[in-house]
Amino acid sequence: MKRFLKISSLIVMLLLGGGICAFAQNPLSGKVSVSLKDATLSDVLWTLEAQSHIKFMVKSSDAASVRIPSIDISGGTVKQVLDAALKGSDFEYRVVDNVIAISRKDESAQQKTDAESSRGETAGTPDLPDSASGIPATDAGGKTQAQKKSGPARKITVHGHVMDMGGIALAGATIVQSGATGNMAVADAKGDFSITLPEDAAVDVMFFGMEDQRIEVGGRKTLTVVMKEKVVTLDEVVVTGYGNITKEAYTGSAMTVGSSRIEDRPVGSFEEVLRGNVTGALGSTSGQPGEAGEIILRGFGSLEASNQPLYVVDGVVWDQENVSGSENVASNPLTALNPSDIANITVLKDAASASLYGSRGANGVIVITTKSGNLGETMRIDFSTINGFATMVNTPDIVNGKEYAELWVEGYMNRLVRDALSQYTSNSTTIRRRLGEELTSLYADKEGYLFEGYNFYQWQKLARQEFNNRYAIPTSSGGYNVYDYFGADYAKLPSTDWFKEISRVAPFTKNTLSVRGGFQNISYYASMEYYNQQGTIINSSLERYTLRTRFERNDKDKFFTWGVNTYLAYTMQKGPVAGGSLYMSPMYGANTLPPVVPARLEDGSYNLNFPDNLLNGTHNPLASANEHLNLRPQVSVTVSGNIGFRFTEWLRLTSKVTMYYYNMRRKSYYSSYFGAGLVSHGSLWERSVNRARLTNTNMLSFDKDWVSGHALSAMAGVELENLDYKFNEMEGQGFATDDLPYMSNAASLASFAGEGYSTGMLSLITNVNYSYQKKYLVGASYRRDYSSRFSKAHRAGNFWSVSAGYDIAKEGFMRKARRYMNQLKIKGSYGVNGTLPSQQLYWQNLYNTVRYNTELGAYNNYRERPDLTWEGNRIWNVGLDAAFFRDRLTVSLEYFNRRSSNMLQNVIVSRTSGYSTYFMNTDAGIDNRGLELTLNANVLRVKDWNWDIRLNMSTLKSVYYGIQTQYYDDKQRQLIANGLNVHTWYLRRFAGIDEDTGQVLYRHVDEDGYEYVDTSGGKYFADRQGVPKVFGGIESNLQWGRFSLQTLFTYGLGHYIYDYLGAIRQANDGASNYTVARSQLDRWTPDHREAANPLRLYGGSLDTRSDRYLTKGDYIKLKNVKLTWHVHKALYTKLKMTNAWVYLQAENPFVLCAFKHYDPEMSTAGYREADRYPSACTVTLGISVRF
Amino acid sequence: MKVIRILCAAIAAALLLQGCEKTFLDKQSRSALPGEWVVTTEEGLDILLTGAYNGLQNRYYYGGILYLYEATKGPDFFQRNASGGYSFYSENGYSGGKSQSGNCPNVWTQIYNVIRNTTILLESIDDVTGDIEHLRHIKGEAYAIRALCYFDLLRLYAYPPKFSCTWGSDYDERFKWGVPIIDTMDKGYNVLEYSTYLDADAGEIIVYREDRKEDLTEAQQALLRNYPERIQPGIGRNSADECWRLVESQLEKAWNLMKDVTAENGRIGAAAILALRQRVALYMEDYAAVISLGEEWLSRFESNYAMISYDSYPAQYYKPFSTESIFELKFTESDNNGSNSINYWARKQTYNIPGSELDGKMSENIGYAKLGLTFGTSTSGYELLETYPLDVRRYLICDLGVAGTGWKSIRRYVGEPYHYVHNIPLIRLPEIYFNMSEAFYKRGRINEAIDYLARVTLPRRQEAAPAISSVNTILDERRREFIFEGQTYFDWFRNGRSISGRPVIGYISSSATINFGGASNTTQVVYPIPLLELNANPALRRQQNPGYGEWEFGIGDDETGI
Repeated sequence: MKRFLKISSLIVMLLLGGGICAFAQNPLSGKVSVSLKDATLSDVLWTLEAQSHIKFMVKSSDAASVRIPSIDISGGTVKQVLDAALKGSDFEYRVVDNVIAISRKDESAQQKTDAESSRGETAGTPDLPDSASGIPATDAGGKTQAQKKSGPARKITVHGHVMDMGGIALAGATIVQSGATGNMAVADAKGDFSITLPEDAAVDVMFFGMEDQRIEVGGRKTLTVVMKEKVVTLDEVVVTGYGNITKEAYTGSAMTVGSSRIEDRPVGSFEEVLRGNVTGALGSTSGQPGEAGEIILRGFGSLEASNQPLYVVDGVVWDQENVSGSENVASNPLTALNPSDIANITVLKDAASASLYGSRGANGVIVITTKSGNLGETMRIDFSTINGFATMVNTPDIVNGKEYAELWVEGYMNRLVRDALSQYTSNSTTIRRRLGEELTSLYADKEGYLFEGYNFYQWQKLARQEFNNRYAIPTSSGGYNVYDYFGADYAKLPSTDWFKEISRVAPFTKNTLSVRGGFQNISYYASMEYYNQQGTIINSSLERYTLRTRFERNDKDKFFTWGVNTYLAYTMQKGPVAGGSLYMSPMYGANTLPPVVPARLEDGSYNLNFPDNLLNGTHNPLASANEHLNLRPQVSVTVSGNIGFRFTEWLRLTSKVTMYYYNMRRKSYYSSYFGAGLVSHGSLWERSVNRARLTNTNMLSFDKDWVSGHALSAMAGVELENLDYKFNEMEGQGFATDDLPYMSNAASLASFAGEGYSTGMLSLITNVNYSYQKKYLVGASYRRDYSSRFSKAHRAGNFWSVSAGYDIAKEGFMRKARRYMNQLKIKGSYGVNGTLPSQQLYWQNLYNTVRYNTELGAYNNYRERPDLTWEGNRIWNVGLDAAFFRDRLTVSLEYFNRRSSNMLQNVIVSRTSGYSTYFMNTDAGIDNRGLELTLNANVLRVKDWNWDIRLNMSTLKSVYYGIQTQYYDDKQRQLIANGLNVHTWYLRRFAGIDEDTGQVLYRHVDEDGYEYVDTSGGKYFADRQGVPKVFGGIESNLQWGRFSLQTLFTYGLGHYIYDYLGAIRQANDGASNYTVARSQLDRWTPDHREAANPLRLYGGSLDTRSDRYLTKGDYIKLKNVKLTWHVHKALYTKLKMTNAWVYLQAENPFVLCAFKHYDPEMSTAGYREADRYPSACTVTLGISVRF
Repeated sequence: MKVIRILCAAIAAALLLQGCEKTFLDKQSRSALPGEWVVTTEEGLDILLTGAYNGLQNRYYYGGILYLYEATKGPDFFQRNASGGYSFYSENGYSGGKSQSGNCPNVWTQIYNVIRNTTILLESIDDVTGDIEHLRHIKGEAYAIRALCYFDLLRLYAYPPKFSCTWGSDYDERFKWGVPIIDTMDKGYNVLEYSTYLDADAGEIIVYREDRKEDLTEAQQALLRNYPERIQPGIGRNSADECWRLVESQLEKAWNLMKDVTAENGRIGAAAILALRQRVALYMEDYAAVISLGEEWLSRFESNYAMISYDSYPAQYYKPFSTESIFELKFTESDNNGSNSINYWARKQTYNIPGSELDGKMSENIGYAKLGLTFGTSTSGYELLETYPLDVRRYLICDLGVAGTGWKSIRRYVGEPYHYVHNIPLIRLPEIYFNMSEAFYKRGRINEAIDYLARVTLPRRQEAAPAISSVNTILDERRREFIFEGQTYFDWFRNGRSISGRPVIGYISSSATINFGGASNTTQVVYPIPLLELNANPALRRQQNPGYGEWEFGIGDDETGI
């Protein structure tokens, strides 16, 4: 049905000259001269265009396929030329609205048959077209039968206008009477058209890149058609990085995210947009601008190697490795990519897609295609500016100064009483009981009851005196002002909000300018970006300048094609140190320091004298944020060139060479007068990293469709990749002034290093896809990788996949159902890919160098493993793709089983070897299973209203197997053991607070299975997990006339969050001097026995391995909301623009979670950490204009 | 035409493939040295030896924990309960046998790490050709370092010979285990290929490789056959007897190879090895050997060393490689433990200007200030140092650097130019005298004992040695001299002298009295064999130290209770 028009997305519009409105006369009668030899129809049409400004519409592959051995007409008409050119071919032409449409004869016939079968007798009866020019189609042969079926309906002429959501006229849109393909019109340059048809007929309106629309004429004489951009169709292309394949014919599991969901988001790095938009993707991020986002696709493959997917940008593997030399100030090479340059992101998840990447495909592949121009496209200039601000959100809820003082005094008084008790017994159980009793008596009769000669108030006074002394306020002269905070100086007690001190309202700016277009056989794209995102913590930011240019010469008739693609980016990331062990992290400081410590002294200088050596006394987070430098500038250059040889129409060789180079520098300076730099009188750390990756890919590809319906595409090739990595670093100390933080000003070197590595890979890649009528689909791939990371005997690895699909909807017996269901495809794939160890040369016996007394020493810090090999990964994927109502509803359901094997592990060994672990392959692995549902629905489409909803949902179960000895994660709260899910908590059971003593109770089970509670630790349970069992996203796009409202929600269910920050700091009743979470106000006292928290005891118990700190993690988060207004045409045309729109959006505005004051997407493991940069809510206003 | 084009392309691709695999897949390391070269060349072995010294410098060995451990367990310091830095709370309070917390796992690993370096060296050196003299010295140093490592393992993870060796004066078979002896790297690398026959009652232990049972004697094989339940996979602890004999013999080998070597600064030479032999003999209660080794040392080396003069002491005592230094580890600005250094951990930076009003006061707020000098009783560190008004070592007392308290600390180490950059002495001249004094005293030769004691008291406080009422007189003098040098706690322990706890609020009081006396000595006195080691080496599970619970998989508990 209407295949000629439906394939509009494949049509290349030859918009010739651009001035088609000027035509009044018959385009066929223009005088032209053509003389060509060994040409194609394409050449002929280009020649005609040059002389006569005629618009042709033709499928570009068709134009290229018609061979014209020789044509020589001088001073003839266009008609004569076309007749001669098409003579003997199976093509025909006709004129519609000054446009000459060329199509295959059999296609017209096919269209007719389709129309009959699908519309049947209900179809309206077409008549001879009555186009504006009055010229009938030259060849009506195929349509005469249809004409004979004319019915009785009255005919009318309808005038209409076609525009997009933004009101821009869509010149060239095709309007065709439904069911009567011969009757059509094409919108002119103003977007206007007229068509004559039965009054009760309907029209289908089509335009490249827009969703087809059907409109019932219903007797109307004028129509305004607003078209919306195509979001999902089966024509969508799956980019595998080694070739493209339409989604319709695809048997693997892949998901595509289009530019509309990427380009306007106020995020520094594109990984941020994947969560919620990609089925099966888990991720974490923080508020640090440009932080490397963690993305996990379909579960976990590895314990020691990376679980991150492979990023491939325009066919080149990009680095995602942190090369800053420190986990705590990580670099992120992916920030070099301007998200606005991305045309689409294809996420490859199963073996059929990812096994093409062999030894690197196990964790999935994210293939990014950047924008390019189109052949024949008129030049378009886009400019957009997005400005806004960000604020810190989801910070912990912390007590104020007064509350802190109250809790502290209470805890300290309890400690004094407890210590007095210890003279009577050393039995801790007895002491606990006695403490409860004594406190009860003291509280009951505060004046009269004496313990050790003191009544309640006297004990309290001792504690208050200690508080007054401990929290005396330092003076700038080095002394202290001791105040009585519980008496006369009540008002002098500080109440510092440390997060407020270190944070700010941070501005956001992104300006993008791009130009794109194309000539006859060259397309171009160029873009520039300036990006400046300030972080919500002082002195953190991401600034970026990018420049990209792309040229492609793609002349289908020529033997030789070429293209160049260059990408330059400079990024400057600034940001504080993460990592709790480094006190200079402002986040850690703000999470640690109590509110009764002032941030600044009375003269405005920083307070660098904290009580009780807290943060080593001097690591004032405000000073750390303001004064320390942490710069991570990067320069990234990607230059890529390709040449193609077209041997025949169906056989091509392409060769591509890419140089991916980047330089990352890290510069950290710690001021000499406090904190980290105090020790060394100012400390400067500089590191410079160069990475160069040279890739050469040579692919021979075969691509042929037979008229009989068979289609075969195959490719085979060789890929070579070499990565060279070098760094130098040094640390200088002893600076005379903090104003000149350069190495020459250092008094001495504290450390120095310089090395690197080189790694190479050679790959053979093959892939075959065969389909019959796009109904039966089979595919297979095989890749052999040779990697330098293994010894010669283990260097090669084989990776492969097989896949098949069957589209039931294309069967004849489904003809009736096809009206509702245009696709029903079942598919399956199985294959093997792998993961490389991140270590480069661990198979070799090597001795690392060290220094002692200025001499070189050596020791081997790991055991060589000559038998080291890949980590394997086997994936099953079965799925069902269904599309209903001409793609208005598409559903995709997939089940996967991904099983890693040969796991790379740091196996715990006897330390008498001097090692604590050996790095090796073991029999262990992780078995991941899950169900993925993706649903796209066009819920509403009436008049000016349009509403699209996309929903995705994934389940995940990741279970360890084959682990020899169970062990714990680094924080010792999760257990790694067979049968357990990845990130399973291993904790005791908290059973409330003992009402008599205020002690924590735990649940126990005795040998007979009876449960009881007491204050001893109790059994550990491993029954809850930190990773969501179900997660996904919901996206909605509601349009009403010129307005559209887009929202993106993400959610996760079935997991638990462990409050590590609370356990070690804010919610630990014994953690003496740290700040306290507000939840702790609900603590046991003799007056408040039914409390959620135990009695406070200064320096008391440190119970942290219980589920007291575990909370349900179920959440839903509004990740992005965007309101767009498409400016009125009248307004922007006055400004010489072709389009304009304005949008207001908020990123991260809202989260609903059982665990309050926290953004649950900060961690994929379920820990709430003490040193993470809190997330930010960014509100921006964007303006985009097009010329 | 087409066919030719395709053919060309195919050939080009094939050639590319052929050429590349060989050249660019063989990658060399850019920073690490090939193991093959290291163990087969003289230069390589020299570098390997230097690597062992670097291992001694590690913060989990002499660079930090060893002396800090002694300080927190001994009578001189209290540990302040403040945030940051190491926590030593658990050093005397491991709960059950389950703990992997505290520093004991890392110390265990680090010492065996140095043993590995020296063992690899000793296994290879006989096949290497080169300068014979040089190779001989390398070998001698390696023996000496390996002996030192076992000596320290025994001090930390086992009881001193007095309690643990069958010849010890307070031998008790509960303390009879030493540490696993890893004399070949085959053992270290393949622990689970080995099995251990252990008859705890008889103290009999047989370590053998499963596939080399035939190397055992017939009697041993019979034991294996008859008592299979006594066999566990892994390598168990050898008896303390064997271990101490090993230390003794390795030092003797080192001595025989090194007799003539005057070491460079920062390295072990003949003088250091002989001094170590003397120290080991003292621990082993072989007093005759202490005296003879001491006399040999004095005759050979005394002329090269001298006690720092009384007047120059404040300015000289901390200087690198002073005239008293027999062996010390050198730390440079680019080679130090930073905030994990001993000085950083113990106290804040002070002014060190003899005579100045500011002297001994905090100058910069740098350091954790965790170790305060005990005070308030006659056996406290402060009182001990203050006993003699003329004692120049009183100069060592400085402010701890905690505002609002009068707490003191010890400036044994003074970093220049940075607080945390300082050398660490292992053996100093006074030790020879003290060892002699103690040995003579124990042999009943009081006069010689006093003479040797006076060789320290004279230069330090310009007076003769006090009357020796018991060995504690010598131990107290020794304690003054070696405060914060990793000696006192071990000296008291090997003599069975108890240390009492120090309950004062504001710092950790849970480390109660350590009573080394005989039968009561079953609490957690020495480190446990680390839990992770027990997990990986089952043979050790039946040989845990007294006071620690049965092995059970786990991470151990946090401190619980109040």
